[in-house]
Amino acid sequence: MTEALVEIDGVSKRFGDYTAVTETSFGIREGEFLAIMGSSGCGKTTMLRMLAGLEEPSTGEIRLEGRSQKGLPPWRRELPLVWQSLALFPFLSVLDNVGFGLKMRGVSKPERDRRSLAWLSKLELGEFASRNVMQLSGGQRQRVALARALVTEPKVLLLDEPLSALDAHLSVRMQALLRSLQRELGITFVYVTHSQTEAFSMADRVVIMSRGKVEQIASPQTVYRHPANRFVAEFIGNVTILRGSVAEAGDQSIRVNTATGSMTVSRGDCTPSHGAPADFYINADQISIGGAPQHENHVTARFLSHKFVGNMVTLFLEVPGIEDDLKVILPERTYDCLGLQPGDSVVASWPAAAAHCFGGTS
Amino acid sequence: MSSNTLRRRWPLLLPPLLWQLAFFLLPLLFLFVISFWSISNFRLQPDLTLKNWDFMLNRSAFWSAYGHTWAMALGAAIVTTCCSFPAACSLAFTVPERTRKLALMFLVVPFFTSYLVRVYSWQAFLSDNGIVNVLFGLLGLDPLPMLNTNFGSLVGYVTLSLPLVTLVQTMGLAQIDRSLIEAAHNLRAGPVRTLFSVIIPLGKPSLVVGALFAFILAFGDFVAPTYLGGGAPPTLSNLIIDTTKSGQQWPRAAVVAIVMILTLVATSLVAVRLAYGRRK
Repeated sequence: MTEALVEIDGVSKRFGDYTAVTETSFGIREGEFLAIMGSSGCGKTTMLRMLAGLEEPSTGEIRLEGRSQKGLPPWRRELPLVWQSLALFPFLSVLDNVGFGLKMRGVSKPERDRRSLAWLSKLELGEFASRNVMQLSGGQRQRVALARALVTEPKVLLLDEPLSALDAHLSVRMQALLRSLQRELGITFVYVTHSQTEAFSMADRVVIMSRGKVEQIASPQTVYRHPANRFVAEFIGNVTILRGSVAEAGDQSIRVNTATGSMTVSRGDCTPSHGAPADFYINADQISIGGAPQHENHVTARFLSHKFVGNMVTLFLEVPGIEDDLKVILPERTYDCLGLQPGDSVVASWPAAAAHCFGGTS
Repeated sequence: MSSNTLRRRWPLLLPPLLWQLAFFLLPLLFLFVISFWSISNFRLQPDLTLKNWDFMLNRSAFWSAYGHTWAMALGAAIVTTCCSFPAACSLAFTVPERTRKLALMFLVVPFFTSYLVRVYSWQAFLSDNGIVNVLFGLLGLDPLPMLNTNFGSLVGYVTLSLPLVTLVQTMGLAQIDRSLIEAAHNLRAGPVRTLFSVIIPLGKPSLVVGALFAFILAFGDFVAPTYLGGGAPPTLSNLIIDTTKSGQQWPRAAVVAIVMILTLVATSLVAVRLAYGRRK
């Protein structure tokens, strides 16, 4: 891996007794779209504020292009932030809001108007330049905030849940805009969100945080298919976690004894030892439902309920001996053909490749 | 409030309305009426004459007092605003909320003592052999006349309005959305530029309203110009006292009072427009 554009090196942040971020290290690559995701209070916004210099790390340091940012006040940093509240200046016109950063850099009035207007036109806001920001709609203000942060052509743009105030339809359109803008400009985006949809649809890599710690950094596909641990698996929510102990460890797969029988699980990165406890997860969309078992692992379960989410349906099955419901995701058409009623007995089966071991920890 | 709820809840508006009517509008009306009355044998006589208005408005002494009062009140508003702004800024932005609330409470304490007593106590500092001039003497400086000067009046005016103006400014500044200040920093505005390009524009309503309070209080005050300013040149409030004391000229005093009220109404309208208007 090449040298990261931004390095976060052993960074912690404490507020009094409360530790918001604990000993965190990771790199942000040049030109990538990085999403930092986690539930509220996981430290993702604190991390972003430390990048912007609005908070100083309690320990560790942040480096931008190899230069330590330690002790650098926010107004000497080059990392513009798009606020969740947008933080547009209500006493300035749209044009002057966008030109604010240029003005502070001493760019002359005609030059900054020209550059601000160019950005406003790019984001289809040219006609609103002389308006007050308060007269714009939510989506328009969003784009003004974006233009204000991008007009100085930064290397890195920080975004703090910028779409959380928009309705679903507008949010989807803004996601597409942000993604294409990021590709076109080649700027590094660091995007903090609690929304899995936003993170997965835009990001090249996702950082999953929980209680001030990084749980996993990987591509959305990897996070989805191969959650690093129990927390990530539960957070993403498309798997069922089972508990067992290693019965037999092979090169490719391991046999795990569980309360509901012995199962074959792909080995992945974990290094199991015989008899050790092993937690593993089963991807919900790789389970088949049918009269006869279609794969090597199978259980007989009772159909409890289902949740309809558009073209896919999530089924919840009760399996004797396991605590959580077994989650199965089926295409809506397939589900329809099964004609299941709550209480029906079904056979669920899955290949070894659908189940992965966490490595006996957690 | 919709017209419907207004219709149902109008009795709640009665107490303040009655109060305003009895203690503000009726006396004001009376003041206006007696400005047309006349005086005979040192007694008020109901009348309908314009000679009080004619007498006051055609005297250059009245207009010079008017100009002096206006200038002093404006000076007091500017000095008070500038004196309290740094304190309001630090109370609003740098101290924890607990400290801020405590400080706001202490700002009310000066009102526990009589304004007159506070003004009198300034005499001990400002007189020719007062504390300040004694210190000047120790430093080998000539005594500086401060008592019975415009400077003395100004000290009194600031004493009167400083706590209130600081209170108004602090409460206004504390309401500024912190993310706007952070956004300014994030867009490379240092502390000084943030002050002028974000904090002052956002704090403008409280700055203007605070200054307006200082102006109104100074414009009508007679204690400071009398006991610290020496009554010369006279302000309009000095003029009212002189007019009523020497010759019982209540109708002429009423004319001065009405001119003062009109001036303050006009000033307030301009100030409110300045504070809240001009948003495109």
